[in-house]
Amino acid sequence: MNIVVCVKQVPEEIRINKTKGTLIRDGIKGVINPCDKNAIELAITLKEKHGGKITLVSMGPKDVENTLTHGLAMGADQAVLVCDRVCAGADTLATAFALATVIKKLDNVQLVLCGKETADSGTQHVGPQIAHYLGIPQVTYVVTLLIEDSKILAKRQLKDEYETVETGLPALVTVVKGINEPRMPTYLNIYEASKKDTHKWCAEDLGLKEDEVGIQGSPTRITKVFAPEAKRECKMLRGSIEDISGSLANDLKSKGLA
Amino acid sequence: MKETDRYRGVWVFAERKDSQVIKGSLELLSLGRGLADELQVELSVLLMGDRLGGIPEELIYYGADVVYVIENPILERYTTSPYHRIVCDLITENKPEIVLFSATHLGMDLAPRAACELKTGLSAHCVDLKMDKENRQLLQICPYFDYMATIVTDTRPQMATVQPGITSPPRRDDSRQGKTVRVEFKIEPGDIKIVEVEARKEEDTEKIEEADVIVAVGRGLKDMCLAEELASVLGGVLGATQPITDAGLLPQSRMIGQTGKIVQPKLYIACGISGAGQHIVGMQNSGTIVAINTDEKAPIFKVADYGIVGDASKVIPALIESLKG
Ligand SMILES: Cc1cc2nc3c(=O)[nH]c(=O)nc-3n(C[C@H](O)[C@H](O)[C@H](O)COP(=O)(O)OP(=O)(O)OC[C@H]3O[C@@H](n4cnc5c(N)ncnc54)[C@H](O)[C@@H]3O)c2cc1C
Ligand SMILES: Cc1cc2nc3c(=O)[nH]c(=O)nc-3n(C[C@H](O)[C@H](O)[C@H](O)COP(=O)(O)OP(=O)(O)OC[C@H]3O[C@@H](n4cnc5c(N)ncnc54)[C@H](O)[C@@H]3O)c2cc1C
Repeated sequence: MNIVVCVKQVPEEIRINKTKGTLIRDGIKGVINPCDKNAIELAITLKEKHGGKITLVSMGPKDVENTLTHGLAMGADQAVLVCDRVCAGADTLATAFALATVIKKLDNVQLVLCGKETADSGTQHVGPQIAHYLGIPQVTYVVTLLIEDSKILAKRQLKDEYETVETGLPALVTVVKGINEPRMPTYLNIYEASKKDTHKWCAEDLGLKEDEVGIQGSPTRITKVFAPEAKRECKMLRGSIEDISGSLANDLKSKGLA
Repeated sequence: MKETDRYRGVWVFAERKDSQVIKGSLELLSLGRGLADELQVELSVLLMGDRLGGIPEELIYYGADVVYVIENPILERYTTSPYHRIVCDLITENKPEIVLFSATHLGMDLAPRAACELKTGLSAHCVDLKMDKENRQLLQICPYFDYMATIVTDTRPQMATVQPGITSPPRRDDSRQGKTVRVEFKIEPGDIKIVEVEARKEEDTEKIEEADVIVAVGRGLKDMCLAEELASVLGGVLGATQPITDAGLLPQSRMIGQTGKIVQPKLYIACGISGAGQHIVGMQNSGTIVAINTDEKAPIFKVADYGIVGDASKVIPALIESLKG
């Protein structure tokens, strides 16, 4: 039973360029998106029980290769990185299309695991959209997953209930952050990971046309980034710390809030 | 005729919990009504379920011109494939220019897959919607780190999920008239079988949604005990931003915002919180908001009534003293 885990690289720390409102990536380490790590851990425990092969699939810039090494060291067998300038600027539809195209090329994939959302943009779209392109069922917000005779039994975490569902394989599952404790690779694991394959594919290798990927393949566009407007008149309290706290305490008391 | 001109009308997907339309969907009716009036088109609502009783009329009272009703026992509880099939087929047939969903678990399961089949764009967790009337283009405003971003879609329909709690439901008017269209569908149960549903009980005994006073902790406050003391002086409870609950400093149940809870206490004190859009959506409707932050440019001050530029670990002890005195 072969498993694919979709892995996105995100910056270890979210820091914003205060004048442009964009994400600072320079000088900030790229890491595996937190819930994607949980997905890798889940894949490894499933492999231990049912056998098969785990392939990590990612789309992103060249340096994602280093980040994928961590997933290989955790226990994945191989990785595929879609890396092409024409893929840059993709919205979720174009991202899902490229990832689904990779998955279709892999052998006998029975289960695709994704995170629920990424820590940098976090739309939650990519999992269900890959499932659609692959024409397979999706089970979102999963906290536990069992496989029995080519069926899965998955427990979904919703707002105020848990829903357990059953569906056949192949299927796509998105997992919630923190459902397990992702293992820490040892030095030996990391050494061994360096011998595993990371295949780098460009759009052409995948038969992807320029208007299907990247900015051109994306129906959404960001037209403006702006600082939010003030929603309230903020009274800035100034003076010594004692003056400030004294006047705030008085105001709160007179409003009946303290 | 341009391809986009074939699309007219505003649609809202009505989500139910048992026999009640959820508040988030009613909020969509407020937004949808405004957009439909501006574009001078009808506002339609898509309602699915089993034995829906008087819900279609209710939706008309809340502002719908047309309610498409699909009733079938299979639709009693949501599963992806039958809902997906109906949404996609009805959109393809009727060609609305805008389709709105609530950014709930159901909405976030359904909308991305539908947008994918319809080969159109989808924006996530919108906190505001505006209209570029000339181009009939929906300006979809989403949190973008500490900023906001306007997203537009070149294809049709323009689809968006909207964060619950960003507006109020419309006023109910039981003299409003509208049309109910019952649609017959051959519905397959689909590939997912629900085996069990159980209530999700929280271990946390404190319900922050019901608290009158919340002292909320962000990454700028290292000392949880200080916040705890301030909360106790005010008879309040602790809330937090995502990095604080992720680090395990407070339980997940205390997270406020897009991923966490929507709260509306009488008093909200934000200590060392930057004010990212995903946090603001969870607390902006609080009564009085106080923000303590070392950075006077922090966006949290834009939603605050009182601002203190300073080190929270020094301001809080002084405030505790003043409150006690
Ligand atoms: C602030 C912000 C807001 C945005 N809003 C929108 C929007 O509203 N609509 C829109 O269409 N686009 C939007 N985008 C663009 C979108 O972020 C990108 O398309 C991105 O490549 C994928 O979306 P995501 O990070 O939101 O993934 P999510 O859908 O949150 O990711 C879920 C899971 O999918 C998998 N996955 C996602 N991306 C990759 C990848 N590159 N490689 C491997 N696996 C992956 C992972 O398993 C991940 O855990 C936005 C971008 C930003 C920065
Ligand atoms: C898909 C998605 C969903 C999300 N959902 C949520 C959510 O539900 N809830 C949520 O909260 N976040 C959520 N986030 C995260 C959100 O974007 C922000 O990253 C987060 O809210 C920031 O938390 P913070 O304000 O504690 O930390 P930071 O942004 O790091 O801010 C810390 C602040 O403390 C100030 N500071 C530093 N030192 C001091 C001091 N000594 N005294 C006073 N102030 C000080 C700094 O100036 C800064 O403004 C989500 C993100 C994504 C991508």
